[in-house]
Amino acid sequence: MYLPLVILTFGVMLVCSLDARGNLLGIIFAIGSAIIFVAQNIVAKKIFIRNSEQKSKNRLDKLNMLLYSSSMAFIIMIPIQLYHEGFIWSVFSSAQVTPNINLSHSAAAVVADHQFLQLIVYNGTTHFFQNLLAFALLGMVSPVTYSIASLFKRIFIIIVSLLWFRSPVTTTQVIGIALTFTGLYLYDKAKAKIDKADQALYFSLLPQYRGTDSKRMNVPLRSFDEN
Amino acid sequence: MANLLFCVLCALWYLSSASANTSAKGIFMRATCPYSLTLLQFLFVSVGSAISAIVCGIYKFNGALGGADGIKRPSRAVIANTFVLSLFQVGGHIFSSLATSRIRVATVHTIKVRYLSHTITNY
Repeated sequence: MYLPLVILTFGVMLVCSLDARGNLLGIIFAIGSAIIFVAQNIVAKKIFIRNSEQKSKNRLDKLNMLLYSSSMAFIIMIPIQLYHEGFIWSVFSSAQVTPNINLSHSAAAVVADHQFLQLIVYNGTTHFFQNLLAFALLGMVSPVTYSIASLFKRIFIIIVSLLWFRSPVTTTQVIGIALTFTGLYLYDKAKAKIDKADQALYFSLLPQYRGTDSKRMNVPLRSFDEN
Repeated sequence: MANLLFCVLCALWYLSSASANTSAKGIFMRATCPYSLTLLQFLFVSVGSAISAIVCGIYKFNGALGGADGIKRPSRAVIANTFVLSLFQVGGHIFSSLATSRIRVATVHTIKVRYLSHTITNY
């Protein structure tokens, strides 16, 4: 159980070693986001269970849950964005925008660019469909299948992004990526074995779940809205 | 044919995710605006799911995400249920955008592979 984790960590370290030299903060942010999404999965599971036990008036289906969580996230995000990058909105006034050191180009020049706006719209729509599809697939298959599917999704994203941006990849990094995925695959397999044993035990012991078919317990375990 | 549906949806999922990540990186290569992009992403998702919910409500269509009831009225229970989730959404996506604006997409996802394999299965 621990060997796959060691392989995983080592693999990731190899991959990060090149990027970390330039931008350690970026690595830290990536780790932070992953940890937050892990915490979210733990909490989301409890929320889903609580949600399915509610009166049908209050019970939320997945689409409504997505709608409410993202709109509230939008509202929470407004002050944060204004604090950090509020000056960006000044491009819509005719006032002169002084180039800020936080922006690599002056905001006015960038936003006026038609291609940039297209890119933003493209990003928004694909991000939305990503969420929608992830949710749909989450409900369709077992958690194990879903986690294997998301593993391959990440492989796909890594390959596509490396090809698209023609990023230089050192041999160390290739080995690191290969190690990461071997470690993950082994970890998933080991976990699936433990999961099956645990689930069988769980169902047989708990009185309120005796006689319940496993479909009712099909609570999403993973990957709520992470990209 | 459920298998075929799964494969098609999975392929679409992969493509949309790859597109979202590469376009985000493309945006960050032109201007460093992680907070604004995350804000706009939340806008797109809320508007998109609002439209989907309304359309599903009109045609009483229960898709994989359900929605035949349209948009549920915002009651206390509804908001209480989803508020915590939105906090995590904000944190997760912000850090994700901040990371993508600084390092390569491939590295971000390699790190995510490492940590997201820790999703909990204890009951």
